[in-house]
Amino acid sequence: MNPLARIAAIARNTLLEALRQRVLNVILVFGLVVLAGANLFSEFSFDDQFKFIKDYCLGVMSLIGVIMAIVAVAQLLPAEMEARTIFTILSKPVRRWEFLMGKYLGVVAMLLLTLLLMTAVSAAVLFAQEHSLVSDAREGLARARDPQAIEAAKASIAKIAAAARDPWLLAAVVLVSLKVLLVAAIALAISTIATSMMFTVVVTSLIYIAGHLESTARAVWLDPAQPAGPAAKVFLAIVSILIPDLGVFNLIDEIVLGNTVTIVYLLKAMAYAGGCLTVVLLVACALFESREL
Amino acid sequence: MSDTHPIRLRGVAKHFPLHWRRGRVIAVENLDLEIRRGEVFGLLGPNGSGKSTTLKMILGLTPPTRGEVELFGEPPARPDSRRRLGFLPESPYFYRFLSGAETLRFFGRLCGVPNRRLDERIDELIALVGLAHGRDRPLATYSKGMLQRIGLAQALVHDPELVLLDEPTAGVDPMGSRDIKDLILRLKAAGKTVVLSSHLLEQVEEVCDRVAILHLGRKIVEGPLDSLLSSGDRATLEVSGYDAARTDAIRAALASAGAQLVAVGRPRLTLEEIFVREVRRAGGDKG
Ligand SMILES: Nc1ncnc2c1ncn2[C@@H]1O[C@H](COP(=O)(O)OP(=O)(O)OP(=O)(O)O)[C@@H](O)[C@H]1O
Ligand SMILES: [Mg+2]
Repeated sequence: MNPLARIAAIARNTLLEALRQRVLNVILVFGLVVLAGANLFSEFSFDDQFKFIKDYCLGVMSLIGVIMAIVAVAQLLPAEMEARTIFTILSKPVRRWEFLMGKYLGVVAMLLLTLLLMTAVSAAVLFAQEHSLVSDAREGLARARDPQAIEAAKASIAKIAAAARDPWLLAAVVLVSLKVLLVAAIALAISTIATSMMFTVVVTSLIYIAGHLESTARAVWLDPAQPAGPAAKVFLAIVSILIPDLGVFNLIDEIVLGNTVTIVYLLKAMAYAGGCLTVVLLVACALFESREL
Repeated sequence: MSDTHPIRLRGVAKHFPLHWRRGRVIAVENLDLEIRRGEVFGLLGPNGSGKSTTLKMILGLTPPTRGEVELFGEPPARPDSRRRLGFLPESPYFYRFLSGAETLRFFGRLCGVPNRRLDERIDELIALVGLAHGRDRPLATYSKGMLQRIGLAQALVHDPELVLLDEPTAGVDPMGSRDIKDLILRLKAAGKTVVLSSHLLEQVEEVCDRVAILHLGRKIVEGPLDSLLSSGDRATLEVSGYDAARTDAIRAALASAGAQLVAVGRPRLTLEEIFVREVRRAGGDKG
């Protein structure tokens, strides 16, 4: 029989279960409300305001996504053990890695739905802002009399639309999603050796923080002006091998700031994230293979 | 060889290390076990004697510390060897939001039961375990006995030839355990091999061909139930038309046949028989 059919059956159940979890729903509703409030802060010039909204929305999406990923994954195995469903499932002709991937993909489906909802709300906020700024600019245009002022008003309308509809934002959303899926995979790997949900939550959070500090630390240590000792180099090498460098996702900030980002750079970041994801999932499956149940 | 003995354990031990070097728990020690094809085998023993741990090792859920486990002649961790087996864990819960039928569909898919067969199979199983009233209700609303029944149904979803049941009658009322015992006997009649663990001895007595008793992880008794329970040349006769005044005549008649009357008593119905009879009579068979 087809492993995919078994993985799909497990993933489907996991998704249904996750959608019923009150704690995840509460986090999601909170995220959506916070996102919807993004244009309550309107004390900026329009350029800054768009930057703020983008930064705010992507930041909230990433934070809520990461929290949901950790919470959802951390309870997967403990819940299965407690209900003993894991024994029934693994006594069927299901391989352990199929079970684990089914659970992971169920959570991934839930996270992608969540990110989609948050993207929709963010887009709505952005378009509402565009709409109100454009209608202000149109009033200016109607009042403008000399050709120079008309040109200026037209230019500012075009600029507003461009800022609001920057296609690179989609790239930023994809990067946020990849980051969330990567964090979920890390939590999954940790949970295969964890004996409690708390362990998974804490260790994954620490790895998340360390993953963000990694690029900064590397920059400092590799700085020729500040020669690092061999101990520091070894430590850094170990950390960079064990912990994915989440600094690649800083690309999101560049996009928010409107800085030019090349396609090649974007693809490299996505490839790195995808590579990390694959390795982390392989490690999770290997660890789960020898887990005592 | 695996055709005659679906399960073999040789010198199996399972130790659980305790944290912080506090030693270890010996769950199973030096266990040899051979389950024969087509028999009902009872794994008995008090709480904590290693019954569940033994079943988990047979399923490949936990590796033995020492020794060898064979399931259909192969290591149990291989999914193919598990294709021919059904398992009911100790007090199962399952996914609470699925209905009985959805639960069976899920496990049927995991076992590779083809979709077109699945609907039919679900109907059969629901009828088999008597869960018609729970078919479309979420498992969250099930009673303990109903959970046990759906657990049995999922163990049988792919019509396995070997069935492992960890305390199949735990938490089930006498009607339910009567049904479960009948089901086990039906499985045996259909040529299946059944291994069950229990500490409810009178129930085991009715269905098992052979038993092993574990104590502190070691096997202390093993053998066919008949020979373990028979007491030599003794037998019980049940007579009708008995008159206490003429006991001496009966004694004499027995003596002339070379036998000796040891005890006279009135056969009593067991409480279980009365319970089952009265509930059946009241008609609320499966409520
Ligand atoms: N994961 C584990 N870690 C540590 N000790 C364990 C573990 N699982 C079982 N044990 C120990 O192994 C011994 C046997 O347990 P097991 O569950 O096999 O007993 P059992 O015969 O099924 O008992 P019961 O009738 O209560 O179900 C017990 O002492 C138990 O505490
Ligand atoms: Mg037990």
